[in-house]
Amino acid sequence: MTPRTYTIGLFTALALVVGVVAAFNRVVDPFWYYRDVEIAGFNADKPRFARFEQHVKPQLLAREQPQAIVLGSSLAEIGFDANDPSLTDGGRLKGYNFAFAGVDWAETQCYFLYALDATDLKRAVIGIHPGSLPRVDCARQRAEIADFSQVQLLLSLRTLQNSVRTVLEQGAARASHTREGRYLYTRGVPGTAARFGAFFRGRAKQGCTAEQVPATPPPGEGLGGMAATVEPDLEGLRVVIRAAREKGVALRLFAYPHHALALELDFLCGEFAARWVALAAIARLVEEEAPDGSVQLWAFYDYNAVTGERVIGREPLYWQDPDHFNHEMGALLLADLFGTPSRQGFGRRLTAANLAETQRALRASRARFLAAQPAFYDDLRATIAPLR
Amino acid sequence: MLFNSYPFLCVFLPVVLAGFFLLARASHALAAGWLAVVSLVFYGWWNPVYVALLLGSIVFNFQTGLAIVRRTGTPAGKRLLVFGLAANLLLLGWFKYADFFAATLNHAAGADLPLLHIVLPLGISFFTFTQIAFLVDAWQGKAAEYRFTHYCLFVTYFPHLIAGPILHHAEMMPQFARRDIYRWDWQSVATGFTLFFIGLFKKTVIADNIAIYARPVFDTADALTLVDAWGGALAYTFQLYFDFSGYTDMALGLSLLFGVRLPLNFDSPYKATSIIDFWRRWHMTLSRFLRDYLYIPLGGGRRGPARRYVNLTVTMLLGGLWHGANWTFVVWGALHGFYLLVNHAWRELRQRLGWTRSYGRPGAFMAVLLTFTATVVAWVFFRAETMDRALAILHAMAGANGVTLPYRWFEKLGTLGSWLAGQGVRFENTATFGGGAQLNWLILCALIVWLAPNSQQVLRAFRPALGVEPDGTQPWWQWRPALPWLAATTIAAVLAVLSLTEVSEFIYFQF
Repeated sequence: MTPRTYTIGLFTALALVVGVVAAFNRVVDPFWYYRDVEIAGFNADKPRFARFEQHVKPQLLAREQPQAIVLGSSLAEIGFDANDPSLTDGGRLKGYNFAFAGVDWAETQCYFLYALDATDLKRAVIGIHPGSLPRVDCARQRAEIADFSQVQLLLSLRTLQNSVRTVLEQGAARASHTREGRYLYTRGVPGTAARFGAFFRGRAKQGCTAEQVPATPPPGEGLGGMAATVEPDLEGLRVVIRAAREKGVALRLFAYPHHALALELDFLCGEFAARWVALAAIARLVEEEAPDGSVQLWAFYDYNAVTGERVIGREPLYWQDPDHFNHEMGALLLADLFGTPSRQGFGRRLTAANLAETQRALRASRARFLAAQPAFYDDLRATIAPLR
Repeated sequence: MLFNSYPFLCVFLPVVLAGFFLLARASHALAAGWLAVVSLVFYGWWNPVYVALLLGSIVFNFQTGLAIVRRTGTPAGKRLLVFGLAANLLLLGWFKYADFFAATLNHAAGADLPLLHIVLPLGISFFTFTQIAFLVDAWQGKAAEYRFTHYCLFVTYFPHLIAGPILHHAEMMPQFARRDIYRWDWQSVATGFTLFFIGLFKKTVIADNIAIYARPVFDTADALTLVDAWGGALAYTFQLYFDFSGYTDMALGLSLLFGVRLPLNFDSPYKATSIIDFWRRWHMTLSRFLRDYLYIPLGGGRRGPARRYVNLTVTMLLGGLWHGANWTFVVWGALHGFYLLVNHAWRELRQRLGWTRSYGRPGAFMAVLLTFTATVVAWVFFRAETMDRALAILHAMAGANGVTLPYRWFEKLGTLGSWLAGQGVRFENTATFGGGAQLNWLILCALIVWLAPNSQQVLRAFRPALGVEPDGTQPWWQWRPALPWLAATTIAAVLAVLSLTEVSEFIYFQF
């Protein structure tokens, strides 16, 4: 072989193989970017989408131009169906779940500001953990989003690996997300009670242990009142509210709900007081910045048949673990957030004025629930048992 | 612009190659000028503002060099040389060390000097050293040719501009003057692309993948244990080698496309049997520079052992500081200086005692192991951001924080796992150890480093670098234009090209 033949052969083979890889990645579309070739048994299920969602979802948002979106962490990504009629105003708006597993407030804030720029948004739902919601510099995230290129999707060894796995896992593994961006997570996977236990084990590392669960339920005074903590930094939320108002977006903020077992553990470990302080501050800010009600704050802390759905000995409908709720429960939240008349009343819109009453209502609901569910503390001890 | 990027591979390189060989048909000077201009474009891709700095440095040094040559051997010539060296060192000092010295003074003497936060021009250490060598060569009468286009090309030549090798005027200028480099040569092109793809593979497939195991160990403040710390230190040791030697292979390969051979920069350094041997194999052109322009002018080993040790220490300290404005680099240099002292002292002791016996393969194995371990320890200072972090990692490497293994290994190890647990080994997952995957990568790297021939040995029959000549033999594993090598190179090239998408900068770009 002459050097000439060798060199020409090298580049011909390189171009050929790279071209075939690009074509294969394009057709399989493991990260669900192109969405034009979907063949059952070949590539219709996208089990690998989750691995690349932070790159793909922003591009899909810009391309699909939804008008109603959900933002937040995995709690929001798992818990809301973007086609829910309450969110989409009976199907009149196009919905998209623009939440991301593992993101914090800083990233959520940046994703919201990006969505405002990239789309003609009408409605947005943002899940928050009551606490500091500071302002952040979104330059890095903007640069990451702008840095996306289709070359990454097509000419990448990682994409090739995921393409191959996508094809091989058809039927064996299911899609990680729905088309509209809802994360399926452990949906339908047995072992919810064990996942509750694993979550509570995580809480133990933060000092909330099984020893704090008494033999009988204590009175519920601790669910009200506010701890003397420092006022949270809400400047990031202020930016978000102002940006939403400027663009005419109906914004619904909501504190992530928790399963009653987790609520009770929060209560027993004394974590509720600081939460109320933050919620009070957020409520004041919302009223100050959006007195017309275009921005609302909601909470869904309650002891009821849905939040207190039993997980021992059965697979629950509404929950995947103490924090991650299913879209069936998300539907109840959305009905309240956007005022779907027939289904309202699951949560409560918070204002500075009704906070004390909300706390009272929570105590009352707890008392009623515990009276009606004598096995509740047994369940709490059973799920937390692996700690011992 | 990065060698490991699509703009470079798909646009820059083809355009430069086509332009060079087309223009060479009309005029060799035009082709050389083209190469110099596109090299400036290559440099300016990162920050166009600093092209002016580079050009200013070139013009200044070229004129100073000319002036020195006209006054060779006179006091005026020597004054010009000192002026030229001082100007280069000032430039380097200003851009690279101003904040370091200010911060050190602020800390040590309680001064309140403002930090300037100057952005370090890419490759400034390399092009400054290259030109310092030129001025000294001019004074010593070793620099023979003074065509500005060729000088400009000598400094800016894009394959070496950013991260070396550090060139000598005398080894490059004659090559630029040769007529045959202006003709397309399929042999050079085939060899050059093969070497380039070997380098690209080393960088994008090996170095970038092993880097993910080094980063958490050096970048976190978490407490480490023995396995995490050694895992991270070894990962970095291999990452640095494959990254820098991969870059050098690419540089040498690219240069070969133009028929120009660059000097060898790596020769399987981790196969070294002593630290002296290590420095003959690692970043060889820097070692050569430090030897020729620092160690020997200081007196080298000519004034007795004591003075030699002082000279060695000073050379290694400055060599350390050259790598970066941080005390960790100074300590790294000092540590290598200490290693060299011990190595030289040991050699002298053996000579005095008449210990000339060789211990064969076991002896060589132990020597390689000892040298490698010493190098790994030193790399911890090289990579760590702060002295505190480096010391914390070394503390863990010494076993002071115990041993933690991944949780799933407990079951896999069976009885051994239980026994280890009984000896105090903890079994839990940490964010700083990648488990089996990391182990596999480390083993793969070790096998390549110690058992495989290096890229220069593979391509030896086709003279891939200056000083690498065919030795008359061609074992089966040596490259030649043949089908098996075409298949192997294609596989390496495909894997390397498909790994380009996560563009990462070469480690040595910061120096």
